Amino acid sequence: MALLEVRHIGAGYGQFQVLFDVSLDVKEGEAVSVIGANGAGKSTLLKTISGTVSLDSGDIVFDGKSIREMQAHERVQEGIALVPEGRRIFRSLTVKENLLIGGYTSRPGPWDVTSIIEIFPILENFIDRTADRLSGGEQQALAIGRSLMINPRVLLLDEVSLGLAPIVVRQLYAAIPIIRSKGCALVIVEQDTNQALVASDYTYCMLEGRVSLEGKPSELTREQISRAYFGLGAQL
Amino acid sequence: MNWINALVQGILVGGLYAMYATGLSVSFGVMRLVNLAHGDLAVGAAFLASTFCLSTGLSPFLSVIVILPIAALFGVGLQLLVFNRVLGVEPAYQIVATFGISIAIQNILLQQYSATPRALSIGDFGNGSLRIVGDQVVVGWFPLARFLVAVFMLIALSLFVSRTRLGRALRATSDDPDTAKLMGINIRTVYVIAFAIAVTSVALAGIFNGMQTQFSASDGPALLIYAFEAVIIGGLGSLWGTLVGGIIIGVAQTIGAEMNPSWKQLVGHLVFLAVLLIRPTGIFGREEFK
Repeated sequence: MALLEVRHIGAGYGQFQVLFDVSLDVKEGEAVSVIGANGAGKSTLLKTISGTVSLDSGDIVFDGKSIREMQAHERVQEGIALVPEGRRIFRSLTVKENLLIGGYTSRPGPWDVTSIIEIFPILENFIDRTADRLSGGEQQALAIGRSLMINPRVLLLDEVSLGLAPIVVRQLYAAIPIIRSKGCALVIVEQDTNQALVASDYTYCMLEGRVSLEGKPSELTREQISRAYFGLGAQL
Repeated sequence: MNWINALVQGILVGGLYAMYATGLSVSFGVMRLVNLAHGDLAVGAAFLASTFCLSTGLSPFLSVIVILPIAALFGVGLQLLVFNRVLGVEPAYQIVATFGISIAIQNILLQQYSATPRALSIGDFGNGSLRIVGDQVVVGWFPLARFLVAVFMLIALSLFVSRTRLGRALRATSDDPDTAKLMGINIRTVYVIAFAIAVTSVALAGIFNGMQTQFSASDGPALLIYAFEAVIIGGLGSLWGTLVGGIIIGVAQTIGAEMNPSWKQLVGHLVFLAVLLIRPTGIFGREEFK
């Protein structure tokens, strides 16, 4: 049985439906990627799982029970953590306080301020500074660290690479095997497919709010992916 | 004319304005709630304190032991029953709700206590003073005590906000409520706590104001203006800025009164407008509010 099961969900913003009949499974400790073009519904999918966008139809099951009726903060207490798009660091808090806020729920687990600094040593130099002084890459490291402080069972990563230099993206992705080694499952949402495919065991491609392709990255061809990514008849 | 004395008196009055402004700063800072009933809550607390003193014969200073917990509970109730229900809807709804509460409180007070002004008597302590610099500067014991209470309240609050887990949650929610939810914070609970703090602090201010000045049922809106001015001069959401803002208003008023007794209020408001023109974010406000 999967840890997280998204079952035929429909969701959107008021009258504007974004997701249509989307299903996705994440097993314990597995890394799943969701790729797709801008506007395909990837971020909305993560927001629906984390509870900031409400579900219109279908169900989301976590660890065997439906979390449909749970509010966002209750899902966090269950162990579902989202690293939001655009990082959303608490700007008036110091780096350390940002991490401590991640530990607000006091869920037990391997992550604390010390172990976060081990995987993102760059944060140590700024630990008592307010977080708005950090560069984009440092903020992203902090955002991931902050959500790891929740000690989640599944970590949802929304567009980690957005707006960052390739070298910085590689440094951030280097943390992913370590995160997985501590037993945390991952859902990696990316527009930049290469990083996501390498880092994941299974991938879903989304197009216009639906899953257009799924499978193990090693078993999918480049052509299949580009068709699913851009739509029928796409040439690359 | 005695400018030094005016300056000292202004600083001491500023403590009271800061006490008024603190709650407003907290409720605006944490939940972006513009609470138009803020001044009325202060007046309401002062009337409750007068009832307490009349029925028990005890000092107004002791009334805070009973009135402040009532104020905190009232804050919890208001937030749960009214403000949490209009949360995240149109901000105008919240303002209209606070306006309605303001009118309701004024009318309840008028009905219960009539239009006759009241005062809280603190006996000789209200008249005693300390003379320094060869009788040039007169520091009343009560204004001094009131100032120290205001500073103590701000120290306590800023320690709570900066050092505790709940205080951190308050600041995170103030920065970005949507992301605070993603950290497992129940922001509705945070709002209840913030508003309880706001009502408790303004109740304290109302009682201290009533110990020196008469108050009546319709005084709330005038008190609200001073609180707003202090908050805006200090910078929205900055606790110590609130003290500085309160002192600036207080000093402007006493200096104005020293020039011409009828200019007291006017000079205070003009200084407020000047700060708004020169530095719209307030002295300690963040640039991004611009």
